[in-house]
Amino acid sequence: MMKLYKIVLLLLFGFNALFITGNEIDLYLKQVNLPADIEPSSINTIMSDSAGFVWLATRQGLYRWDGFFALQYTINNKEGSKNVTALAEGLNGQIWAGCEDGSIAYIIDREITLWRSPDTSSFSRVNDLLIDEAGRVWWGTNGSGLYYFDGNKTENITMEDGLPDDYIYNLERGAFNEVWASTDRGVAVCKSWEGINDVNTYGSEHGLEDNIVRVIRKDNSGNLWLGFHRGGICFFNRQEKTFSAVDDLSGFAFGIINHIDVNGSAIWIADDKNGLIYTTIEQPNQLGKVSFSGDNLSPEIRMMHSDMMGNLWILGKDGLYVSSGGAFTRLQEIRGHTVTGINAIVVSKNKDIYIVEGKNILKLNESNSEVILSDFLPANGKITDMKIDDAGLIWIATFGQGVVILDPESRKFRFVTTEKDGLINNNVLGISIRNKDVWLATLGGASHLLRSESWFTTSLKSESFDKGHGLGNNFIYHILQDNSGNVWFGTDGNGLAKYDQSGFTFYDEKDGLDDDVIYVMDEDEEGNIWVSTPGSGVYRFDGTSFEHFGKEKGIIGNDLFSLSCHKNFVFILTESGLDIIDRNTNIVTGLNEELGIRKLQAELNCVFKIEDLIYFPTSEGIIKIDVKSLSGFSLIPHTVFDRTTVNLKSVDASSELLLSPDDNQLVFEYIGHWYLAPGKVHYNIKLNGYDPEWKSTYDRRASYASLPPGDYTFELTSFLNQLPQKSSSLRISFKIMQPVYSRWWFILVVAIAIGFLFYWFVKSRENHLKLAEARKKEKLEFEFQTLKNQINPHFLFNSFSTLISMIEEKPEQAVEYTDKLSDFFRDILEVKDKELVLLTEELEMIRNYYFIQHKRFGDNFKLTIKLDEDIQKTKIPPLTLQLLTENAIKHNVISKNKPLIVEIKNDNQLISVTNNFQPKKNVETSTGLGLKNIKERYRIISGMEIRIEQTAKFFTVFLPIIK
Amino acid sequence: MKPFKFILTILFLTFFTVLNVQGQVYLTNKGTATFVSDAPLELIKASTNTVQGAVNVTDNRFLFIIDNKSFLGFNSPLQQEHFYENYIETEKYESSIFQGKIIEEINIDKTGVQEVRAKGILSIHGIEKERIINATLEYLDGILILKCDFKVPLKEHNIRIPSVVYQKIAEIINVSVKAKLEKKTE
Repeated sequence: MMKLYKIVLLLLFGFNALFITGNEIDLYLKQVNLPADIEPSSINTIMSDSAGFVWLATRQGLYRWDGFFALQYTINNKEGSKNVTALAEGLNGQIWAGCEDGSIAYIIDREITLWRSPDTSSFSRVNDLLIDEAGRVWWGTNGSGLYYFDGNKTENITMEDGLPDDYIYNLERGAFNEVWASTDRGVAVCKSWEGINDVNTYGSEHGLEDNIVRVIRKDNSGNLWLGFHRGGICFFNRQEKTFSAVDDLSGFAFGIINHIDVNGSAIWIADDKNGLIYTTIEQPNQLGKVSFSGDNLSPEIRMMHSDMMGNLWILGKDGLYVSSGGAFTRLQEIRGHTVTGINAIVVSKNKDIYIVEGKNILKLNESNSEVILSDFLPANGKITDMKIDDAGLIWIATFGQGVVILDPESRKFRFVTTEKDGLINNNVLGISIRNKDVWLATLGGASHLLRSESWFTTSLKSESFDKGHGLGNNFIYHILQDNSGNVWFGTDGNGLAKYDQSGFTFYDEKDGLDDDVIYVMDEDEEGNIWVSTPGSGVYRFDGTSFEHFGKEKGIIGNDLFSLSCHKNFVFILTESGLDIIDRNTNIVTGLNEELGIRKLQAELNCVFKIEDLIYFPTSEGIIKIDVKSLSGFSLIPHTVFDRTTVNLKSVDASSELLLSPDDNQLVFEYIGHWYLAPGKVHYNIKLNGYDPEWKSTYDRRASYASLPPGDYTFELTSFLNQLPQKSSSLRISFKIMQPVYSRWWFILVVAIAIGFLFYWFVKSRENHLKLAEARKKEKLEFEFQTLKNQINPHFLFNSFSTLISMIEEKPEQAVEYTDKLSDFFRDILEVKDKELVLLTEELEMIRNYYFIQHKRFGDNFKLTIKLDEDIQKTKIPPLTLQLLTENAIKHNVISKNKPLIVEIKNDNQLISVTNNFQPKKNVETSTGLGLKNIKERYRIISGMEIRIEQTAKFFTVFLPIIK
Repeated sequence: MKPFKFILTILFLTFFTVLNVQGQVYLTNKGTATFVSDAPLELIKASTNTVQGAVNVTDNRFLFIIDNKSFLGFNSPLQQEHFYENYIETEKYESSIFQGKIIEEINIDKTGVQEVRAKGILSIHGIEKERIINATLEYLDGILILKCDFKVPLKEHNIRIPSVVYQKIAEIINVSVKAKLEKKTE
């Protein structure tokens, strides 16, 4: 298998070994400006995580780099070592770090925890770390073999278990979740399940070039790439389980392989002799040396690391560098020839580069540079464009001398001019070649060179168009022959002209093309024509209408020099740099600081495209774009929320936050990773529910203090040029709760309670008033009754009769009688307003009354009072006893034979007033209200009932006691 | 005997005994080491033949110790003084040590030269560096002949050359070691 492969390669390349061109690539490097306390030479290893941060493991500890700041994680080791030697990212984004003293640390939510498995006693340096699909942590050590920790216990795999050597350089996860370890004595494949460790080893006896395997890396297809100490790399096919060496067809002599990084189809190899080598998974044997531009790189490369955005990080001996991984470059010299400010460049199919230097045309290839045409231009000559046709002839447009056609192989050349070949003008601005049709844009119109068997015949035939011949203008900046056979002209003042079988069609303001000067056109893969104007930006013409791409869509520059379409990209060279439109998203990315450019100058229509490479010669060097690499490169910043704090405490904002009313001080920290020019990223932020408008800012944190209760969503987008229209924002939603007193249910409960309270109050007041009203009424009635009773004419008559007889018989007693009588009346007047009186007072009154009546009836009327001491302290409605006594006198016969005996006594908790029942035959006129009145008063005042008991002999009224 | 040297000897002896217990040991104390500094303005070459060395051919461990003060053959006595006092600082760092393990299997029965790689810690001027050094081994009549050449970048070992003599001392020093080790008799 292996042999056949080699034979095929030999057949393909062996016979013309001279023409083998490697996968050459140029990197524009930017040195990372790390803080002064991080010495680049102290960096042991680097890693970028899934959030886009770059982790630096150094001798002084661990740092997280975001393009601006290095966040330090201090490892407080008992042993005192801060030397971090290995890094890995876990399944949930936690970062693992291995230390020189064999300990392991992990970081979750900015908290670093040092961990040393209780099952291990190894203090050997951790050389590499790996987290497998099951979440197990594996680490390879410097002399103690391989370890893994499954969450419960740690297992050690050593030479006793079949590991070829206990010194492990590098770990890699295989395609089947097996772990590959590279050692000094070959590679080991370790599988482990249920405590059984299965170790297979591969060494030189399996076809490895060397047993010391410095590095092992997996590609996207699960195949592995191994780098050897003795030099050379090899490839492990996971399906066939075979190792095959990568042949050094380009003639490198490999040094010690320090590192391999595989990213997409790119393979980067660092050895200690050649520096950095580039190759691809598709054609691994075509190794190419990487050349650098930009910041100076110290030659020794220790490791490379591709991040998730497509940046290639390079750890040199004394510095850390970042590049776009070959997606775009700025070349200031090619093989020792300065290429800043050249007007044109051509690259042939076999990757020879042709440039014009002075009056000479140079051919530059991997091995050498040679002048293939010298002194061909007059002193004042200037070239404006260069193209290469399918036959490999080079066409050079000059300003004043027409066009030069050059065969670089035979070095035969000729001028095509007005004089010889009928060109419309010798000031040529642009050449358009499609198959064998050549169009020339000149300052006198456009010339179409008719197809010819050989371009080197004495004179060529041409047809021309100018102001008078349909084109309407003599100044033609650019001509494009599209895929549908149309020819497009960029005119100076007449807009865009299309020439087809039916003649010329002009597009200008009436079609939505607001500029009548057109510089450059190109056609994209969907057949849209893109045109650039000097001052109004770029337009896309889809056959019916023009869509404008100007400042509002992120095109930054004012002067637009060139434009080129390739795949889904449109590249626009402006004075400010290179703008790239991604046609899928319409997002414009402007590159300038990424390439160390602030401002540039370039000739119009100065662009060369071959295969996936596009070259823009400028005053600052040649901007070279590798569209294949570009498709794996993120043209927008990778935006992440870094941290969210509530009242200065970090919170997990991955799901909606529910915050209490006091948790209303929020800080959002975020970052848009764009490592090539981190300062260019700006952000649009808005707190929905608070901010009325989007805010544009360079700040990477947003603070909100004292937010009122409500629902909020913090939205964030980051961008380089201009906010793209189809931008998607990152969001954090949260809710600040209402305080308890303003929540609806609480308000409802309180309202209902107040309602009840009010109702109760009204109701009770109403009752109270009703009662008072009734009492008043009763009292009035009673007073009236009593008064009426007391001034009852009978009473008065009887009293006066008694008095008269007393005056006659016992005048001294009459005085006493009159006293008692007047006392009695005064008492009545005193108590009539009162609701209750003490029983003693009432007894006083009844005694007076008894005195008066006793004088009248003598011993025929008897009143006895037998009330306990404590009962006498209770209360009673005034005149109750008097009224009952009076009733007894009123209704009963009083005579010597039948004396009336009224007895007042207490019986249990009742006061009883009893008289012997001997009713009169003819009763004095009576309202009958007396008893009823007492009944009512008791009911109102005490809520108690009086009881009336009538037998044949006695009439008794029981009164409840009021305390 | 100075304390440092004493400790070193103890270390060496300890190593011996360990080696002794575990397998076949080859020893020498007469190995030669030469260093060459090939600078634009001056070629310096000095050597010693008191290199102490031990190789255990059973478990592949080895130890070599060079007494820094034993180098001879400088172009001038002043140069030698500079070498001792300013560069290698023999007062502080008396010895250079290379200690580790030979990666490849050693085949005692094989005749002819065997190429091996010795991996270990190279300690010069107090700075330790992990190195893999290519070496050759050959067995001849119970004697193990070991040869190796390696480079020592001065910067790696924190040896600073004053700019005045920059053109006279190379940044990278070539070192070659040759030793005939004899099998330790029981």
